[in-house]
Amino acid sequence: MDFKIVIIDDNLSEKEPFVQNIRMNYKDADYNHVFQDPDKGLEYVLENLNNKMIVFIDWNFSGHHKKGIDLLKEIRKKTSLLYIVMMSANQLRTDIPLDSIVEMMNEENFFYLDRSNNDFESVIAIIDKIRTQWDTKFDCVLEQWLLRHPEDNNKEAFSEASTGKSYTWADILVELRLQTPVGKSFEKMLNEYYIYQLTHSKK
Amino acid sequence: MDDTQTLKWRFDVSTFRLIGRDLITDRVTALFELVKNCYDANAQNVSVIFENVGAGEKQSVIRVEDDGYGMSFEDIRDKWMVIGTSSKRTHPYSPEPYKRKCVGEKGIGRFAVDKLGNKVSIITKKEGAGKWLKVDIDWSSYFSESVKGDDIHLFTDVENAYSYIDAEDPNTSGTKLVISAIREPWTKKEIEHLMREISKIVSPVANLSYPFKVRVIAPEFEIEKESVRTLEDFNDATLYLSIDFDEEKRLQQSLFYDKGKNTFGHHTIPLKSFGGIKMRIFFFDEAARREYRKTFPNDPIDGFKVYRDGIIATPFAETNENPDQKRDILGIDKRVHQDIFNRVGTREFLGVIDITKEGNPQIIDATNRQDFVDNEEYREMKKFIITQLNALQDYKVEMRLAKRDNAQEGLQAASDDINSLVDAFNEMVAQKPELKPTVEPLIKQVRKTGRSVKTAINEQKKALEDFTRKENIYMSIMSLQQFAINITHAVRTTLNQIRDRVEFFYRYYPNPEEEEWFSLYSKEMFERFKVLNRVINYMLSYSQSNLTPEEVDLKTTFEEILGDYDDVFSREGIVLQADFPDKLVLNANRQFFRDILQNLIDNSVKAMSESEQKVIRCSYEVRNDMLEILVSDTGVGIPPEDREQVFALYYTTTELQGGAGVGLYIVKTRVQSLGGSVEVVDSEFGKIGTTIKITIPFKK
Repeated sequence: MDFKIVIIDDNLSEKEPFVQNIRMNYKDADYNHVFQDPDKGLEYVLENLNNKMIVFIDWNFSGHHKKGIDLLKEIRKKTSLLYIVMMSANQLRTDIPLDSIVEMMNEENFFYLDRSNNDFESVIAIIDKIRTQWDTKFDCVLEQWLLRHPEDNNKEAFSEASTGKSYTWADILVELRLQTPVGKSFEKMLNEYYIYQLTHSKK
Repeated sequence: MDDTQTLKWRFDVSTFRLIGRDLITDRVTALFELVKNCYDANAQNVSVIFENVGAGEKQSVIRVEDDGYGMSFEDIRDKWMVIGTSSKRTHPYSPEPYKRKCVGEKGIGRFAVDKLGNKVSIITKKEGAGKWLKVDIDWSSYFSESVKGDDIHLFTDVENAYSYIDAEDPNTSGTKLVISAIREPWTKKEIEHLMREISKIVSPVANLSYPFKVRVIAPEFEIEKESVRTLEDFNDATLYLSIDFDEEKRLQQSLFYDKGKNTFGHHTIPLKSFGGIKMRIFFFDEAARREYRKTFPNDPIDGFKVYRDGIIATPFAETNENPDQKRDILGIDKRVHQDIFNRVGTREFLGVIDITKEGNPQIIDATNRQDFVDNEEYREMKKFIITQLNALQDYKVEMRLAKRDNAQEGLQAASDDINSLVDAFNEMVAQKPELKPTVEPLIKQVRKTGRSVKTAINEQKKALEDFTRKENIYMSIMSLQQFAINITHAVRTTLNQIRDRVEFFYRYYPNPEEEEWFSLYSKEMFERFKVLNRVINYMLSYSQSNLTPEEVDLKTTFEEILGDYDDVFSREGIVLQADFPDKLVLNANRQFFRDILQNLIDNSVKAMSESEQKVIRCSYEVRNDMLEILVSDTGVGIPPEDREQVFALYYTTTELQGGAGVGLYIVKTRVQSLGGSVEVVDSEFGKIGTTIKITIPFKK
């Protein structure tokens, strides 16, 4: 399987057309991860951060204290690279406090799906967009490379000139996920390096 | 070979403008920053004096004088005049024994001065020093130097004169800022705005052992007043309520109103997720509000303020003067719809909520300092606070009824008095007939008055009936609104489920491999259509119901209503235990029974969504000429602190399941229309679940 689809929604089961549509459209997707219980879903996501994964989260959980945004925040403590799609069955303006909407808009790698008005075309559009980004965004490419080449994980990637601290590729991945200054500067450095390589190799 | 040389940063003279004017947006905030610095310096008495600051005045001066710990020459040279230093970053609390949580914006207060006037003198002295140190800064000289030549002018090159003044008493300490060449004239309104901001700095409750007093004086506007609030300021309140918590035992108090005893009480409950909170509420009734407005004309009664470690946390430096545009923190007035007759609004009380950094770490300041970050704990705290206010609401309802009864009794008593008076006159005439010509016109007059009083009694009765009728219409509209929301929600959910299934057919049919799914989805669609049908039937039944009383056979009625739930019960796995004795007929409104039962059952279904064992028990019996109805479930139950309040409008514990807090309110009003009462009693199922008991007088 190429990538995982995780769904955390108290009103969905594997038998729902939503899940079956994913199966029909994405033969390479591992779609059998539907959680009605937000805590269990969160636990699964945090344990599987090393997988290529898209997480669909419902905004509202009946009878549960957690809301979608609480899960989003928990996940963002560990990684900002993971793609998250927030879903709501009701209209945005009545269901979700304005502050929370603003907070979510400012998140990276975040999408919103209006379950009451959007059909499956919108789901396909979101998944395809994410897949394209996986193939092109540097952090995603590196993440996937290291997952496919475990032997590279402990090789030294670079050492910081000012502190002399050295980072393995696995360390870099953590820094990237958390989008720390080290992670960001490494990303920038490497992008520049490749642009340099490309521009100079043509000559 | 190493020929490395070095370069240094320098600061252009305009830097201070960048720092001061851009960080501090307006003059009120600038002055407010200076007052906050006095607080951080352990001052107990501060005077803010405006002299000739009005439009067209000359020699205008603003003085900010405090009796704090003051500064030495070294403090001024090495700290105050070094940009970027702030001892408040490393020492967030002021020196012992005050240990105040510092409130000044980190190290920018000194640049606030530039916003106010071109010249400032700092006169300061520590305890024991024999002389006051006076530093004169002329901001305009910085500015004029920066424009006149081509040479680079550095902020750090400008020189500021200092001198010493003999002190009369070496034991005094403090700092005085004398700001002159005031940039723009001040208005009375702005000064009053400043006073309002100052009044909120410290919690009146925490400001006891080392009080912080700020006196604002502006003779040209006839202002001379203490701006910081003390507990005595709230003496006018009609009612004072407070709750506390016990950190060690992990217990929190929660308010309730005891209707029987006509007093407030506390439930003791385990500490909530947001930590312990202390709360004080000063409630003002109409008369008290008028009194308060007279004493504090600029200081509206405006609901809760939250203090952390004694310092205002939110709303922070509210600049909006119009109370209607103020942010409603905690959402007190925003509660979706409002019980317009009895709700407690923010204009009726002043409240102080005290939290601490250590005890309430999950209540996190929002970056704009106007609210807290939306998280589970804050949501729970808001709910808890509303629970406290609901106790106050119960009190208000009782007071309104008592007032009404008093008025009625008064009129009735007057009418009785008049009758006795007429009797007395008649007796007099009977004993002394010669008085008849004199007394006759009097008796006529009294009789006339008596008729007026009777008319008044009738008028009042009519008004009351009229009011009750209006209240009922209002309730019908409210329940209709809730009804519309429920129906829309149910229809939308079902339609979406059907759409998803139709879409699956549309995309993939025919496909032999997917046969299993096509068959499952067709069956499910068929079932969903049945649901839609039921919803529509329900709507029709509602629209056809009329409101006239009729003979209601209880057994048939109860069975009919519960029968509508067959589908729901089987879907949810709920077992119904019913006990409905025969041959009980009540002359009442059938729809009322439907409203009561439906709302109770709906609640039970929601409350049991997570229960392992799902049982609803519904029964009635006759006891002492009263019909007693019990409805019980094995759901999450109602915590004891909420028992008195669940019947309040828009009070809900199931908002996550779509509860809007209307259901039990409808139940209560319907039961009252039937002349009965409703309450939460100990659960029939023992430790789990809820039992609601309804008593209705039985008129055979």
